[in-house]
Parts: sequence; structure tokens; C-alpha cells
Amino acid sequence: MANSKLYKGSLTTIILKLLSEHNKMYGYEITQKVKALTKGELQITEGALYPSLHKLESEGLLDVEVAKVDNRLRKYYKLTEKGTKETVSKLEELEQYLATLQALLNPKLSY
Amino acid sequence: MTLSEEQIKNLYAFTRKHFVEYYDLQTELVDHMANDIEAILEDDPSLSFEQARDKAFKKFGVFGFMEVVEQRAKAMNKKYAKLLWHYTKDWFRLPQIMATISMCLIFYTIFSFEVSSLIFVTAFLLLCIFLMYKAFSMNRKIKKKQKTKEKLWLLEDIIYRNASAGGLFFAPQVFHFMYTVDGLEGYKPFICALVFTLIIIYTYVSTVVIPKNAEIHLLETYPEYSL
Repeated sequence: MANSKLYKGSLTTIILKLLSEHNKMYGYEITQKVKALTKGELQITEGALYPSLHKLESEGLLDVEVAKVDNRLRKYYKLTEKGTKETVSKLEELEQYLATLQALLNPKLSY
Repeated sequence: MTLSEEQIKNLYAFTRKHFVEYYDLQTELVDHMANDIEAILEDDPSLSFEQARDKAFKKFGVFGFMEVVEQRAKAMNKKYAKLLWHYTKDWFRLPQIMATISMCLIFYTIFSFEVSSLIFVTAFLLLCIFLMYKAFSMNRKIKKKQKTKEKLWLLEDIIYRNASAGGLFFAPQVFHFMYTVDGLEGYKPFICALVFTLIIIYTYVSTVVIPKNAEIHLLETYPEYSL
């Protein structure tokens, strides 16, 4: 994936944002949702998704829940109160970064 | 199409074969692989289960589950450190801080005696014997658990491992103190008292408090622990 280097820094923000729009999600669902929303342009790799989820969980931003679905166990993630607050500031951070990039790439358009 | 129970079992064995030792991570990866396999088979029903499984596994990259396993271990160690800090902090709050201060003062008084270094080394030795005893009983507990069930939990491992490792960590220091402490003078009794108090709090938290509350934290970390 050519753009995988570019999205790496914003992976946690993407996860938090998705979880803020859905009550709870599981790993595979997140990869599919991102793929669908970006029309396949952005594909989160399994090797990057789970470490990010586990890190957010250990930081107390996510809570976990397990349910039996079909004949297997499924682990769901949802935002904690701390996670909800963090989502807001992370999104602001990313938006600011986007604006900065915009200013760099298209100086005339952004002013 | 939903995977059969047999195929799910096959996936658990598959994760074990690829060095995923702990049940919680196995479960998460099994569900992920199962979802992907179902999607792959839907797209191309001519593939066998094994072919679809290998195709799903390839998406994890050349290192397979390694990265996920490593990061999970990191996250769990962080969680343990947080627990340790959470319970240790309590000793510096009212009313426990009174006990902490008195403990420190008592040690200070004792270590200020003329035979202080002897007392200090003896006290340290006693503590190490207690830790060795704890390590021994913890190890027996772990072995018993490993025998009776096949599901392993990383946080549980870390809790028991740390509880039994204290002795191994502190015991060699006895010799260090024996040679360097030549009677405690000046500020030394105070430093010794402070260090000793901190070691006692750490020992108490890691060998008594956390193992006692292990069940609560394991359930909180692993909702599937009780299933």
C-alpha cells in the first residue's frame, strides 16, 4: 500500500473516531469499515490495528466486552469516558495538522 | 457461510502453532481470521478452508502474529505497572501515610543503634527469606494452575511472576550491603530506613495485595475469563 506510511501516525485517531460513532466495534469490523468509507483507498493492516487497539486499551481509553457470536467469542471495543475526551482533542490535533499541510501545499487556497 | 466448531478449533490450534500462547489473544485472532475466511470463501467458494485460512494469515505480513503478540505483551506489562503504582500510591495517602512514616521512623531508630549495620543486614535477610518462601508457594500455585487448565492469561502470569521474583531480585543485595555498610553513620541510617520502607511497601503490594485482587483485575481485563 503506497500510502501506508502516511496514515500510520493517524491510525489511533481513525480508530477513536470510528468508535465515537459506533457504540462498540470489533477488530475485523474496523478494518472493513475503513475500507468501505474510503472506498478501498485506505486499508488498515491487521499487524497495525491490534497493537493500536491494545495500546489504547492499556491507556484506559478503551473498554472491552466479550460476546458469543455464532460459535466463537468476539471481543468488542468501546470508548471509555477518558477515551471520549481524548477523541475530541485528537481530532482537533489532526484537523490542525491537515490545515497546516494545506497551507504548505496550497498557499493561495488556504488564505 | 459460518465456520463450524471444528474449524474454529482448527484456528485455535493454528494460532498456538504460530506462537500465540495466551487465550485472550488467541480468541481475538481466531475471530478475526474466521471473519476474513468467511468473506474469502464467499468471494471464491472453490477454495478449501485451509487455502482460505492461509490467505487470511498472509495479510498479517511476513512476521505473522509476532508483532501483535509483542505489542500485547508490552501493553500488559504497562497495565501491571499501573496496578503496582495504583496500590503503592495508597501508602502515601491518609491514613496509610501515617503507617508509612512511623515504619520509616522505627527503622530509622533501629538503624541508628551502634550495631545498626548488623541489624540492617539481618532485617534484609529476613525479608529475603520471607520473599523466598512466597516465591516457593507462588510457584506451586502456578504449576497447579497450569496442570488443571489449558487457558493461559498473560496478566495472571505477570502478576505471579513478579510476586515470586522479588526474592531473586533483592537477595543478592545482601552481600552488597554486608561489604559496603561499615556501621551506619550520619545520613546513612535515614537513607537505609527510607529504602527499606519502600522495599517493604513494594513487597507487600506485589506479593500480597495484587495477587489477592488478581481475580478482579483479570475479569476487568479479560471479560472472557469467567466464560
